[in-house]
Amino acid sequence: MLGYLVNRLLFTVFVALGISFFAFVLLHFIPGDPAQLLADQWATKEHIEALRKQWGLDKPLFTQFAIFMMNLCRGNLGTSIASGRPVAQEIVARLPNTMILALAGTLIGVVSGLGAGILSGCRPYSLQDELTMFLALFGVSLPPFWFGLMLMWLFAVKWRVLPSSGAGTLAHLVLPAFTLGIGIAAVIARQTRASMLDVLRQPYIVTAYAKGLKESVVVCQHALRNALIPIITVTGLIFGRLLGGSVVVETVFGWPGLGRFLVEAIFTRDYPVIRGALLIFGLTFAFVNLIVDLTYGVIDPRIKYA
Amino acid sequence: MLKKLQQDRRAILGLLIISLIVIFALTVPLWRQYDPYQSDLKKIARPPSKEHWFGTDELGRDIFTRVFYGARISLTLGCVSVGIGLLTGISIGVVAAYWGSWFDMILMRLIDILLAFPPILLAIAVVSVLGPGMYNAMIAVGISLLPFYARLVRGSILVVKEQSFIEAARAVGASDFRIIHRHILPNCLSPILVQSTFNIASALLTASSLGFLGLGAQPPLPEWGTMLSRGRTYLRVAPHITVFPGMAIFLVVLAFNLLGDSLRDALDPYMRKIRPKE
Repeated sequence: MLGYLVNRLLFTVFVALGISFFAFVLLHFIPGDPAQLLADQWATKEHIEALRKQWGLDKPLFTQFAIFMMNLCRGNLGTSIASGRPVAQEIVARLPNTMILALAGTLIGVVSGLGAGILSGCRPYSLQDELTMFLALFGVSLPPFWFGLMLMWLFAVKWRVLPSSGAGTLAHLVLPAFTLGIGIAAVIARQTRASMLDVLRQPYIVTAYAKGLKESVVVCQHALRNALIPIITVTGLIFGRLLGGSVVVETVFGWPGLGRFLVEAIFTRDYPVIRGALLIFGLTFAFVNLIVDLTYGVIDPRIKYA
Repeated sequence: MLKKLQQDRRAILGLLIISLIVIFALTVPLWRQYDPYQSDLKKIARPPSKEHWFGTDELGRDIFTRVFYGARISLTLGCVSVGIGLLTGISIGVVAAYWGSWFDMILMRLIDILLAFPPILLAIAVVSVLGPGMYNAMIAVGISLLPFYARLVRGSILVVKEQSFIEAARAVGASDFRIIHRHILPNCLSPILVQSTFNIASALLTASSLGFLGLGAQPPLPEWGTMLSRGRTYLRVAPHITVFPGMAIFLVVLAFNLLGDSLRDALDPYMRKIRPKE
């Protein structure tokens, strides 16, 4: 287990370094002077020179990256051109909102997706299975921004039962979380069904039935636990889709999260914010994948002792 | 495989939807007299009627005409993006798997870093460098697909290149290029074909998301995501402006997913084996 843990941790550190390098190098691909891009368009020559010094932009690329990493370790991601406030401070103010939305979306997705997938997997090719899988295919194909707008139109404009945008109360969370959750539920339902179909064919399931166990016990205690590994993998991967989806959903519902902040920053060409937001999104995804990999060890002892 | 597809309702439905949309997109100028770019301020935001089947938009343009003109743009966006991802991904995958060693190690670690970004965020990162626009969106979406293709192709080649017919080709003096394009790639086609069908769906979604966010195709181009973005301002008074372009995206994505599912089952020997038992 220790070897596996160390291996995974080292890989995550490598990916985190890679993500940091990607975010760092992004600024250098944009035509123009990177110091000018980091500064306000009305910045004085002195200010631009000060920025050049602060980020070592007059030094070789490798040294620049080292300075960027040192600043990053101190929590210094630069200053937002639009607001003039430190980028780290701006991100810290918005990240909790994105996390709340992502977690609510995951919760809706996992609970409904697992339920639908188990029901389908236990009765393959039945009417119930065909219907659930067709609905799941619908869910996978729904563009989140359109689905969100349609929910907004129905619940906020037509029936006036939920707020159309903003944040602050639980009611504000319902529509964006459901918009995010439905796509995830569809993917998890498809994966759960496939995993359950695989596991339910195994001899130990026949043995469990032969012992006279109830179907609910066989499914929940024998089959589901063995079917969980691919489901967890997909859930981890989906968290990335969810972070990406949050950019769109936050824009639709005016949710004050990091995704909306990133899109606004692209319009104002606020490069320090773009760099910071991409970095945080990438690192969050890498961290979630690490947690997913470590969860395997808890669920499947074969991985723990491999 | 074709026989299997012909028997699968999902494939038939998927192909039917795609064919209908393509036929409508190509022929719409022949039987609709409306110009997709010409505004008519006397007909602003009219609901669906006999004259305007999908209604008119915020500038009085016929939404039906714009949706099917938009099909040309959106389908091209999806297919070209997949083409870009496919070409670059295959090149990287081939180089990494065929020549291997440290080259493979470096390329795959770079791919790991790209995979750390969710596709739409990677596309947004690329657009933030290139700037918004339809062609830049194609490149951005293509780059966001690249790591998946590189991984897929590398994995498939690693299996195929150990087969004895590759050794035989090498023994008769075939060049690396010939071995790759005549012997290896044709044997890796199945997973690439299945993945590409799904990828057209996801590329379409990503490209229209970029359009919706204002980072993809720009107005007045009738790209579906861009149309939705403009329509959402009028959601209270004219929801039909948002309904129809969204439905078009949904139907095309659904069609490609149906086709992809069916292709995957037709090409997967395991599925072939288990399905008749049910």
